[in-house]
Amino acid sequence: MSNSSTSNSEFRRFVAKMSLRAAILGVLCTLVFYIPLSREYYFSILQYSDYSKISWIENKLNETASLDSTIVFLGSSICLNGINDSLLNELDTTSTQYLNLGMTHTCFAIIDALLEDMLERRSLRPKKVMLCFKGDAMARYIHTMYPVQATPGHIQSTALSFNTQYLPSFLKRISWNVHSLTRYTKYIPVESEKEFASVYGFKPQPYNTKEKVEKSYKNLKAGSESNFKAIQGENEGRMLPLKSQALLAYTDVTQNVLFQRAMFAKSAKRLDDLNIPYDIIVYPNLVSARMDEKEIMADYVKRTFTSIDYSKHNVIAVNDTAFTNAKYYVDMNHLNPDGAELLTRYIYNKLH
Amino acid sequence: MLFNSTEFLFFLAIVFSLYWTVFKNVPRGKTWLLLISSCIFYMFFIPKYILILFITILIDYFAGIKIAATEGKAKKVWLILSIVSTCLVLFVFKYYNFFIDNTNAIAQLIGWNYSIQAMDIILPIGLSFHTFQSLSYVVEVYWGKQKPEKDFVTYSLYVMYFPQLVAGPIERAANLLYQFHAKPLFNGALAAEGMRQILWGFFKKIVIADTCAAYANAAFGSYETLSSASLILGAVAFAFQIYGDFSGYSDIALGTSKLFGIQLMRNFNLPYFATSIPDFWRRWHISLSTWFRDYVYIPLGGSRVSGWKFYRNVFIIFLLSGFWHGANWTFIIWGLIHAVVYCIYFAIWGNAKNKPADEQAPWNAWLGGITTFVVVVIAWVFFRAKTVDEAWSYLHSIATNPFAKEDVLHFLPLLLILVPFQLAEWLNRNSTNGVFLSTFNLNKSVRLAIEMIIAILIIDCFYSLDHEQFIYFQF
Repeated sequence: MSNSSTSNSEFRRFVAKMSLRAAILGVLCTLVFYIPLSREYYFSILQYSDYSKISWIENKLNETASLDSTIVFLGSSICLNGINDSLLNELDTTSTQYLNLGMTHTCFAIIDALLEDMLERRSLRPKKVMLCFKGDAMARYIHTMYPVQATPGHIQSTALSFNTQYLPSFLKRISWNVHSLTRYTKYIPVESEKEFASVYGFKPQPYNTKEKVEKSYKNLKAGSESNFKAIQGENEGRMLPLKSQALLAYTDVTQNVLFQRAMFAKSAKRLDDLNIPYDIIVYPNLVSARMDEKEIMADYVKRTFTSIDYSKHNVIAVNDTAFTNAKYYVDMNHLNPDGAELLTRYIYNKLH
Repeated sequence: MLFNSTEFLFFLAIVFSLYWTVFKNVPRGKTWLLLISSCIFYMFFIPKYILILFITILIDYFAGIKIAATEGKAKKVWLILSIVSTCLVLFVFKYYNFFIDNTNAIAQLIGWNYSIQAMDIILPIGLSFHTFQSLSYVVEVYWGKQKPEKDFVTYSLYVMYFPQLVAGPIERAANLLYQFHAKPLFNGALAAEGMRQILWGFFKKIVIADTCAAYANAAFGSYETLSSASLILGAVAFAFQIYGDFSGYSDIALGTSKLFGIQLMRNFNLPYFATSIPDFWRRWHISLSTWFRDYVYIPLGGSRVSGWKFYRNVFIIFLLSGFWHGANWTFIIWGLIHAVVYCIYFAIWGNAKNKPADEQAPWNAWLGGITTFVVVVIAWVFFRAKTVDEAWSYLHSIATNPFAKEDVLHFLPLLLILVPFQLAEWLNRNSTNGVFLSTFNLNKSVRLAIEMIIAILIIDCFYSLDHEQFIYFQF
């Protein structure tokens, strides 16, 4: 036998050997992925982190027997910092309650996992759900804590929903499962100041100076406006140049935008299937508020999520001109407590 | 591209597959493939910096040919030209701002109203490594120990070979060039060994170094308030962070290279089991210490000179070594500490104590081992600190801060990972290639089980800990 053919057969043997090891590792990982650990463990990971609100939500729902008369707000930090549920409960003198379950970072997958838990595992049926939509763009990527919060079943199901970050999600869940044993060797500081401790779900943001907000607006204005213009063009049926279309298609896949869309649609369907009323709030931001066309993102929602029956569900685009004033913001997207009060009253009026 | 990234795993799988399938019978194609892959690998950092590398390669390539083709003064001129131009790049990017800052500080001290603007530049990744590799080539050609490489592609690959491009080992032309010219056939045993070395390298980096980094960052972040025992453990954590980080990188580099049938030199050999400072330097960053030995220390006379000249040589080597690591006084002091202790060892024991641990009396080896480790850890405090003041304050806090049981309890779990790690390394101490488990006569299933546990621990720490960039990338 020649050296070359020996080398060929050695290469094949090596590849076979490594493939076998990869398969064994895959089986082992799958077993670890499904290890049933307590929910308390997963949510304790988040308690003293920037994602502390997620643990708060878990504890809140553990204490809640019924949501039958509660309007629940779901969404990202713009909901967390923008909807003052304490004020809503004060304004409404009827039996209706309000609960802000917003959490930091925009991700529809983590919202859907929360809805699944609330509606299916806990069989809670909110009076109404207010879904959140960011004022300037679609959600991208995936929440870093999604694999902690979601069940193995929910994570697995995302593989079929164009989740390009399925593998990291799968591996992160494995990581957190192993971490239940290895955490004793790691340095984990208890940053108690990070714990979200409140009766209500609203987290007021510290005030920022108007100048700093205007500066943030100026820095991001051009990019955001061109983004809006492109969305507006699409809303009006204008064809984008081929290069832009290719770039959009590329980012839709690589930045997980397709998956995020699928998750939003899934949440809407989940609510529809249980006949739970819901509306969609398109939150204000400084660029969208200062542009002439206030309905761009609302049109985008209607155009993108065609399975939603918009005769039953409102898309609330916040178009109060007061939101053009930088004094209500802490940055281009997030409202300060005064802005939150303004928005909360606006939403309250829309609901009644 | 970082070794500890998913991009690298995909990149390696693609290059490896192409190398042994499409190009298996095309040696020239293999060289091109490795060179193009190395360019892609490098351009993941700052793409335009590849031009700097290209210019250095071009100069040293032609200098090598000219040095070999000329004699006498002309030969020397080519050598000097090559060394100066290669070092100039290093000086501009790495040392210019340090030089300017210190000049400005001196000017201010003596009352001159004098200020030169510092440059706002980012250091090209791995610059010190490939600069030293290029220098060793031209010097070897000058000494007539190495034939000049006529093929530009092969020479470029010698400087740019991606497994060792950004953090070594600093290879010698004599070890690497002939391997590029050979027509390697696939060696399954070598490739399997490479895979195990990569796995162990990832374990050292992601499990050991990143876990230790969390402890070290906590200690160096609040040394004013932490108790003395916690600060000691924090300094030990950094010692293992840098060891896991750098030796882990080297293991990944060596393992990756073995997949292509190319063997790189061993860079670490259980440095924390060293019984003296000279012994430590035979085990730590071996490619750099042998570089300084061969190209600076021996030309200066090495240990054959008598009296103060020997000590002068030692100080020069360690000062250069410190300065090589970075343009900061902290690195220079780090080098000085090693130089001082090195000289003390020689002044007291000469070469008597400078023996392998096995040849020493057990108590001697233990005592020497502990003393060496303490010195090394103290020196690491300077290496880790941002400023010399910070390093002094850290050491002062170790000496003066009271003992507090509560915060020590936060740091003690570090030992749960370090003790088994060092035990595993000690059990593997007779390995000639440094590959984990290579000296154990283990049943296949047990070996597989250990490898799987290591893989799962890597996944655990990769996602549950903050990632630290490889420390030596900045050099």
